[in-house]
Amino acid sequence: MTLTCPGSGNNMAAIAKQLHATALEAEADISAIEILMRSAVNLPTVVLTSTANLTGLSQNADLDVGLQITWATTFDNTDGGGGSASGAFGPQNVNSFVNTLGEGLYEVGFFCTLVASGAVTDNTVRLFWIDHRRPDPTATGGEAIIQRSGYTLFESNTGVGVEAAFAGHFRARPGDRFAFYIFHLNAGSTLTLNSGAIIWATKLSESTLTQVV
Amino acid sequence: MPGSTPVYGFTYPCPGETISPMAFQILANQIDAKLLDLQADYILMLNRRNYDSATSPAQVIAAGADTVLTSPLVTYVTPIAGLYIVRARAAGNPAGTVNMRRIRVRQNAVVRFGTTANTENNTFCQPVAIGPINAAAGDTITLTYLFNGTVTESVTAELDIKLLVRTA
Repeated sequence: MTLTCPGSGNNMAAIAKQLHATALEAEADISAIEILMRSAVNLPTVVLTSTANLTGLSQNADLDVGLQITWATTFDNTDGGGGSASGAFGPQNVNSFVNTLGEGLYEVGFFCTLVASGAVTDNTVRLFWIDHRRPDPTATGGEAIIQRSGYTLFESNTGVGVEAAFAGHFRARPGDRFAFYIFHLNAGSTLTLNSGAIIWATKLSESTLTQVV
Repeated sequence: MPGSTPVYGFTYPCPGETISPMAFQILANQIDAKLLDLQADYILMLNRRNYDSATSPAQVIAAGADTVLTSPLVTYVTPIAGLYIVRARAAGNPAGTVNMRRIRVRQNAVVRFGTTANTENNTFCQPVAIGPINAAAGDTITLTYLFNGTVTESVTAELDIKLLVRTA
């Protein structure tokens, strides 16, 4: 950074003006550098948190809870590319996160707590998973499952329900969707997915990296 | 009254003010400080801030009590404001029976996320939890552990934290 310096002489007004110019020059140069560096430091990330309980979750069915939950944006540094108040990762938003940020390697996470609305069936399964899905008119439901990352737990009937917090890595491209599922076999009652559930995604890397030679 | 630049607030004398050598010194120091701040970003570009704890010493926990793990190894004070990804793992060595284990991650004593594990019929299972925490500088991240069963467990844990986004 090269800054112009005050010239010689006793013109105080000119010196004041020169200092003003110097301050502005320094700010412009530093600001340009800082913007570039911060964009390298900060990974594009979206975090959504649910604001209400999701009730009536029936057993023995794959439940796409990501579409049903009411989400609030907890964090979004993607300049409007990702977060929204409802289903940022869902088809109604056409997965704006990946659409805006482009093809790359994404880390996607899911946390939720499931509690029985009534009777607990001891030692029954609770499955939690993240689906990476892609539009495919030849596939069932019009979507092909590209990859799945999940967690298998079992209810221990100790009164605290079951909770899972996990993440997976997915190579996604615009048009893809991340879906958040649960499955259970609690025959005694439906389950409630408590408020405070979290889904989050961050772009770790571009798909292709330019090599400088 | 000196003026200041719009982004960083670098000060400069306005026309009509008496100019002293201090005006040059102040501006130079302000620019210097901002460049030092950029240096922090430069370091973060090359070395993303990470914390990877060793396994904490065993802590004896009674059944049925959601207990804070007190080892400094699994207590983290966020050095700068930002969005962190936190991963916690706990392992228990029971003195009696264990039906369920749970690890939870807290921010300033508020629970953010956790994972349970059903260990009935002597199923060996260590809960692991990973999730995001949006923190201010100086926030404290701690773990709590709960098990359902009899007597006590000796619990060890690990905490891994990485900074994804610097927000200040």
